[in-house]
Amino acid sequence: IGFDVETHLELPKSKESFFVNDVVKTLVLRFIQEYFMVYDSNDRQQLLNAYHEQAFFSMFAVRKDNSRGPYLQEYLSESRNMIKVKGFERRSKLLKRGRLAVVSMLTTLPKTQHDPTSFCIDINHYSAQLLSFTVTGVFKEGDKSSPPVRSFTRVFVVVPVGDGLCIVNEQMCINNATVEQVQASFKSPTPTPSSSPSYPQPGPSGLTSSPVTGAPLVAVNSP
Amino acid sequence: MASSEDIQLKIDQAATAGEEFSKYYYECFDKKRYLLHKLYMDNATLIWNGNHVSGSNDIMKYFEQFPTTETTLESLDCQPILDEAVNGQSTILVVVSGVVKYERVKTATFQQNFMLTAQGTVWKVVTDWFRFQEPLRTS
Repeated sequence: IGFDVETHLELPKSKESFFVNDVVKTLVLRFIQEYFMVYDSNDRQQLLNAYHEQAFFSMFAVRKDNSRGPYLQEYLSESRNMIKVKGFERRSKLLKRGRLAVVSMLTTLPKTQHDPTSFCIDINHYSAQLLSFTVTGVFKEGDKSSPPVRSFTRVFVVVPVGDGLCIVNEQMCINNATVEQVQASFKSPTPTPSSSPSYPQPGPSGLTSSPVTGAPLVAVNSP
Repeated sequence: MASSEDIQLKIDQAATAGEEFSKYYYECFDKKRYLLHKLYMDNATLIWNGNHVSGSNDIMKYFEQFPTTETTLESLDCQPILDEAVNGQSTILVVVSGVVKYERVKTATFQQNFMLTAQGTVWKVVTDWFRFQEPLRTS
């Protein structure tokens, strides 16, 4: 004879992106489309205006022994995984402070081609002063002949500036995509790494103004 | 604007808080889930694999339905949220990844992030975001 002990053998079903409401959805989708279009381009310097003057950025790369795909060497040198990196000094160095430090680090990372159909976007927090959201998905590493597919999670904390958004904090997690992620990704006709045909163009002005703040993209010393 | 000493202090404070929080959080989740509510603000929000739950009471009810877990953390990172964005209210971002085993259900790689804010002398969870590393659209 056993006991009538309740056991739970199910988990809630996963859902797609969570957007709070259509206003936030429109705002965040526009930001993400424009941000990743620039991120995948040959000139990540153009992201300077997407970041706050004093923005924080850090990342970690997760290397799993059983995962497919090449080593994450390019990312591991910048990996601020505090389980492994213990010293305050080293940790401090790996946390990038200020938009110049952030963007110059981003420009050293491998070229990418994201798959927008893989994106899952959740709004973590929404108020008039502050918005936080998490984006997950996969990308190919651009220039290589048989590019590895990586999985990413990026959490953005942004504040409104004009009718755009400005990043105050960002954390990025990179690891090898799972077999299931690889199989599900890049289903559309093979895009060319040099252009990003999958992203809608951000209006008639294209890249002449900042995707995020509305300020000129090349104005490095903007307020 | 805060001095660089102030900023350094905040970075170190965030690191220490993140380490202590993550240790305690997963210990509670795996072994003493009934204590977990103490870590959340009353009006905290959870997004668990796209499912939105608000309020610490409802979040606890949600977690009660989960099988027993065994969590292994692989990565942890923390940042102080920029003062300007939170009106100087001490707030930190804690990001983790790891593997979670749900008894008799599944084992999965996950990513999770939290925003914690200082309430008097303690940190409380304002937002909790969690997803498995898996594609949602498989065909």
